[in-house]
Amino acid sequence: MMSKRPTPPEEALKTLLQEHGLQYPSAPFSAALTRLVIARYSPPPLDAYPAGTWVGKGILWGLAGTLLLLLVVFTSPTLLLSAAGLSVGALGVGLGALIWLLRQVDATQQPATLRAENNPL
Amino acid sequence: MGLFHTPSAEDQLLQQAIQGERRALEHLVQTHQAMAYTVALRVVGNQQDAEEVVQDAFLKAFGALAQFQRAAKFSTWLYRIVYNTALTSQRNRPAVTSDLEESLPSAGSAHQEPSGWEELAQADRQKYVALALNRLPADDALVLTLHYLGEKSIAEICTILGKKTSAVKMQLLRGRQQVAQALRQLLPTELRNL
Repeated sequence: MMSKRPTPPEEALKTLLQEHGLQYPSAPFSAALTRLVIARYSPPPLDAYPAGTWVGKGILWGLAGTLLLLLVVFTSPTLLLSAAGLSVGALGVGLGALIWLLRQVDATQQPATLRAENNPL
Repeated sequence: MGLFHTPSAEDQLLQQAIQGERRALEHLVQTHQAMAYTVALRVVGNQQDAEEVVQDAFLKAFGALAQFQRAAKFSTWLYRIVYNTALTSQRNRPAVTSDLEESLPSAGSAHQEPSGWEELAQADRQKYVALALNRLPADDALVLTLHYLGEKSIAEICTILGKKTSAVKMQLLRGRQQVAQALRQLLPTELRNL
C-alpha cells in the first residue's frame, strides 16, 4: 500500500505565503497609477490632432513669411542691392565653375591618340 | 551561449515600453504593482505611504527605462527602486506608528468576495499569514516576501536590498523559522506538517 508523501515544510510555507501573503493596493490607486504612467510615457499618436497640426504649421509659415517681408521692407536699398548683387555674382561664379568642370571632364574622356599634340602625322 | 541571442519576451516588452507603447506600459504596471506595493508596505508600514512610494518608484523606473542595462531582471531592478524609495520616504517622515495591522486584509476587502464559508475561511487565512509576517522584524519579513512571493533568488535579494549573501541567508532562515512557528499557532490545521 502506497503511503502519502508529506509535503516538505518549505513547500507548505511557500504555498501558504504565495496564496495569502501578497498585498494589493486599492483599486482606485491601481487605476490612477496606470493612467498616470500612460499619460507620462506614452505619447499621443502623431495624427491624433490633424487640424491642430495644420493650424500650427500655418502659424509657423505665416510668421516666417512676415519676418522675411519685414526684413526686406526695413533693410536699406543699398544693402538689399549689394545682397542681390552678391547673390547674382555667386550664381555666375558657381555656373562658370560648373561649366569649366564639365569641360575638363569632357577633355579627359577623349582618347589620347585623337588629340593633335599626340598625333605624329 | 550563442553569439546571437533572440530577445526574450521581457526584452521585447521593455523595448515596446521604451517606445511608449500603451499596452506594454499597462502590462508592466499591472504585473508588478502588487509585489511592489507589498515590498513598500513592508518598509513604510502604512497603506497611504506605500501607495505613494509605489507611484514614485514606477515613475522613476519608467523615466530611466532607456538606461536600464538589463544586467538583472526588470522586476529585480524595479523592486530595488521601490526599496530605496521606501527607505528615503521613511527617513524623510516623522516617526509614525505602523498601521500594518489596520491594513491587514479583512473578510470584506476588495480582493475577496466572500460568498460562502470557504471564502471567509480563505480571507481569515490571508489575515493570519499577514499577521504572522508582521510579527517578524521588518527586514526578515521583507526577505521572506521577496523570496517566496517575488520568487527572487538569494543573489537577487542581495541586489535589491544591497546586503551580503550571508546576511540574507541568515534572515531567510530566521524568518522562515519564526513565521512557521507563528503560523503553527495561528493556523494549526493548515500547517500541521510544518
